Amino acid sequence: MASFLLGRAATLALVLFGASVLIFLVVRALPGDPAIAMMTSNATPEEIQAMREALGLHLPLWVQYGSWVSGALVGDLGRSFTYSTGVSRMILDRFPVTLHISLAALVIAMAIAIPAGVLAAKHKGGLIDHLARVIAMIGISMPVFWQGLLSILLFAVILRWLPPGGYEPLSAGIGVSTAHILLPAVALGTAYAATITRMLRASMLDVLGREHIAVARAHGVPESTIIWTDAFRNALIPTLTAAGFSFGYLLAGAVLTEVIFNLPGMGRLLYESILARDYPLVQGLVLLNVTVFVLINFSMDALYALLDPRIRR
Amino acid sequence: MNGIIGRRGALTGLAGILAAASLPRSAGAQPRGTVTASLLGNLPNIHPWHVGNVETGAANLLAYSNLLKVGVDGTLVPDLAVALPQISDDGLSYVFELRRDVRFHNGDRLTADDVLYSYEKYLATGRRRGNLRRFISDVQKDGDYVVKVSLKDPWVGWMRLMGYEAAIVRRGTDVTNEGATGESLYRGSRAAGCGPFIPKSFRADVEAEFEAFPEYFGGAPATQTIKLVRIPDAATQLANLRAGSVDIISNCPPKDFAPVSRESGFGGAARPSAGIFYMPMNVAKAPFDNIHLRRAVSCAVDRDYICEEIYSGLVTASALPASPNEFWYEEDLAKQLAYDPDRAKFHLRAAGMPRGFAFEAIVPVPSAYVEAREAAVVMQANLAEVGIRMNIRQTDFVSMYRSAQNGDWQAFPHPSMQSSVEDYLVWNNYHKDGNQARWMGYRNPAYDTAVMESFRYLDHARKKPALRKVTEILVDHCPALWIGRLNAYHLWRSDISGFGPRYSYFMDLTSAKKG
Amino acid sequence: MPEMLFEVRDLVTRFRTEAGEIHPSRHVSFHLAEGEVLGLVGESGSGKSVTARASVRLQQPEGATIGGALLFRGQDLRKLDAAALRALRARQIAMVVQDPAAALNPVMTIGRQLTRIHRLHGGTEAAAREAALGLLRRMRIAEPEARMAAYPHQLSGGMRQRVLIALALICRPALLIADEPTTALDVTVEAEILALLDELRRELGMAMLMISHNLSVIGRICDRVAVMYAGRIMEEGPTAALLAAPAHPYTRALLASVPRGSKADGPLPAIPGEPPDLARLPAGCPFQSRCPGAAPDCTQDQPLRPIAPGRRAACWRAAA
Repeated sequence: MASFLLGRAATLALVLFGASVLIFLVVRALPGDPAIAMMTSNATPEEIQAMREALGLHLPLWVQYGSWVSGALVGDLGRSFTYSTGVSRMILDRFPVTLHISLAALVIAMAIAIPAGVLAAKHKGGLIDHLARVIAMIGISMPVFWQGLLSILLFAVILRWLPPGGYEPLSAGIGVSTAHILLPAVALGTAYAATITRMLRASMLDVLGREHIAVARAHGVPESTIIWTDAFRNALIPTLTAAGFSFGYLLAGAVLTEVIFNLPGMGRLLYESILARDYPLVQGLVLLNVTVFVLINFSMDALYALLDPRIRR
Repeated sequence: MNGIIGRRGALTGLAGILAAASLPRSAGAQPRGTVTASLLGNLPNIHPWHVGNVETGAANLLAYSNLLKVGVDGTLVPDLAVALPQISDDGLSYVFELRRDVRFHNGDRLTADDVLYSYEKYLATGRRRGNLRRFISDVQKDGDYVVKVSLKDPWVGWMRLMGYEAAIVRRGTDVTNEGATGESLYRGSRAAGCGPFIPKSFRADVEAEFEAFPEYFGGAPATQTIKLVRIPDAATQLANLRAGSVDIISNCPPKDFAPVSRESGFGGAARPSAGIFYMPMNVAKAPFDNIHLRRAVSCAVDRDYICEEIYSGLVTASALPASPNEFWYEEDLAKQLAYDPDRAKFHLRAAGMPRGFAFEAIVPVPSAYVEAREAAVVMQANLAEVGIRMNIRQTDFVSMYRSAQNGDWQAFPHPSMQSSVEDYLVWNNYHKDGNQARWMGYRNPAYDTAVMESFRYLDHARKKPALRKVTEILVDHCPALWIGRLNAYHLWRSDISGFGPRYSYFMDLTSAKKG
Repeated sequence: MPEMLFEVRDLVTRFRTEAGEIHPSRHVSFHLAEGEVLGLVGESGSGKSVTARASVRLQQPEGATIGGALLFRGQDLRKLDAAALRALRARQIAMVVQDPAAALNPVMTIGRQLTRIHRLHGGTEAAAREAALGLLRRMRIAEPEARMAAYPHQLSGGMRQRVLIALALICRPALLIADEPTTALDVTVEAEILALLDELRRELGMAMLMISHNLSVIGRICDRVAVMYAGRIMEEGPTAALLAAPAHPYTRALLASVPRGSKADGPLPAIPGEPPDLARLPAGCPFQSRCPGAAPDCTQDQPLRPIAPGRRAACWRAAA
């Protein structure tokens, strides 16, 4: 176990190092200049140059990289050009929002996808299957912003059951917080659920076609046990990988959802920091996303091992 | 000191004072209630000198005051000054007399030293100090309540620019502290300003809260708390307005504006702003180094269709930089560049390209105020009718400016918001010293002279002949396709009063009141 | 004459495929007496596996069976509801399949897979464990306690097949459907498992329907053989007699293709001609296109007819 963790930590360090170099270079390869972004078109060239110097952009690349990385090692990701606030602080401010929404969306997605995927597979070709497929298709093809706006109109404007947007942390009270998070989590969760449902259905059908299911049936194992014990646990394994990666994307921030529901999450921040060429902020956010992705990968591996004895050591 | 501002200017100034006096503010009444307004763009800071967009402008208006401010209709009105300044005949000297009843949020009284301190620091550290440094030679005091500003060249526009982004702070305020924690100008200082509201809390890009400053020199505000919340999507803003979670919204989808503003329970208004939607053409580079091709483009685009059908009338069509409702609009000159496909074909023949030509238009996506992309498609169709092929390249603003600065562009249609069109844009774009002139590529000494002449006067009557000369040259050389002027428009719930759109496009919530 | 255990009459199955409707079982009839071993032999795709599974209502989807009677101890399985059918499983009818790697649930321990079947049919945990351990010992599996805690992937192929057989036998069924139970194994393991299976069968007095494409396997343990081709039984009779003197041209071709003196692994060596396309079968005998003795009357249907005592064949010219 210790060697497993150590190995993973080494991998993480390596990935982060590689990512840091890549991010650093890619961000600077974007056309445009943060100084221009900050000064807009009306600035004089002298002002732009002064701004470049104030931002440290006149220094050689390796100096910039060195100072960024040495700061990052002690948790200081530099100062945002746009907000003149520490990047770490900005991220600490935004990450909980995104995490909260993503987790809520995950719960909703799973609550929909597990029964839908399993039932659709169980009744393949039947009414439930077709219904699930149509709903999943709508879920996937309906743009999140459209679904978001419709749900705001219905639940916030017409029915007035829920607030039309904004974020309240759990510390503001679980009721208030949940009321705020419900619509975006559903909007995000249903799109996510549609994907997982399709994967789970395919995976269930695959497993239900396997010989050990036939053998279990041949020995009188009841159908519900076959579905939920024999098939589901096997079908969950490939589904979880895909779901895990999608969760990584959720965490990377759902820009549109955050815009429509006015949630101060990381997706929106990343989008705007790219438009503003806010190098430190983009770097910090992308680095965090890479870390999250790698960590999700690891936890998927661990979960895999837990679920699938074949890869357990 | 021997000059005096023109009669017309004095009248406008007076009108401004009257307007300010008649605002729904009653001395003695306790501020109460909360008004919440939504902003579309980013609100990265509430530093008085880092106004980079209309959102930061709105926050700035709440917490800070300046010598003058830009009135509802774009005229300058006194703010910390008792009246508009006395401008010397050579247009180089401005004398302001300060109000004596102004207190900062911490209770200190405002004197000329605060103004001097602010200008000194702004000119040294302000983010966009370049424009003011280009014109201001020095700022001096004459006693505690008189400030004299000397210019290097005449430019009345500096006062609008000042009103736009260079507020007065209490002397000694730390203007450069960017510390990540604690109170600073970036995140709002409770002691630095003398505006009607005091910053209470600020979360970059999320929300800012301001509380009434009862000792405000203009009288205690009617509302106790003003909240600015960022809602980065226009349709969502409208949904929030309908749901009642905000009282005023900065933006809505253009097509929804007129219907909703007529609905019971809601109010709305639009008014001409300093914004413009236009397409500069690179006169230094083929194909637009050929004046006939520039004119052909200008005559081939149906501005009315774009403004009415695409932007629902929230852009006012004009073939000139001036809007038809502005004093310097010249009907006869506008005709020369107006939509007329036959005339466009005539110019194509004159250019020796009767069958048309092709160019690339860099279209910023997303663009602020209005989506340029939507108009670009109509322009493309209009131009195709006379044989001109407009290839659209979409990119973001920063990349676009980068291309522009490198001279690597032919045309870019985009909306732009300036402190003023007549007192800033005409100089900034085409005068040899203008900030954008370098990449606009336009050089014309006669134009430069005309612009500088127009810069001497605040008074419309005296300004107009010079601006006509400016417009004549612009029409003659046609370095841009002017499509129209942006209107500022906002919607609010009908229980809101004391609020309306402004020429500057900033939301001025200082006298907004609920109930 | 031992008592009749299982009789299948006129079983018809149907699948819809992209190529059209196919009938893997076309009016198939066979029977098994108590303790008897019937071999169902044929090439891949002949429908033997579908037929065997459908005969005990294990074919998925179930609706594919569209005709016939499946009489188990006189009771028509097609008329039973799901619960009654489930009650027969494991205790009366069990199944062993070809690929032990796929036939065991990869995420469940061997012990759990064995004991849960026992418990499903009314055993206590302790009794189930006892039965499982006893059976594993009987299957000559070393260290059965340790194996109980193992997952399928931790066992060898032969070991897994033994577990699979133990799984089928844990409730001492009267009928075992053995669908190519040794095909995936190598020759020495195959012989060992076959011997073990035969030994246990005798011990339990269990009847067995043995599906195989391997005539030597069939020859070793079956009392009777039915030869299937394109969804039909072509010939049926006592093993020794049928192998010694095949009556149907297809059986003859099948026997001729078995290499002498070695185990016939994998599909049978080629019989001249293409196997028939089940979606486009000719009228009459399905073997006519490959039959060396084909004649015009082969386009007429010839049902199985007796050709000698205990022997039947579906050919106009068949004779014992």
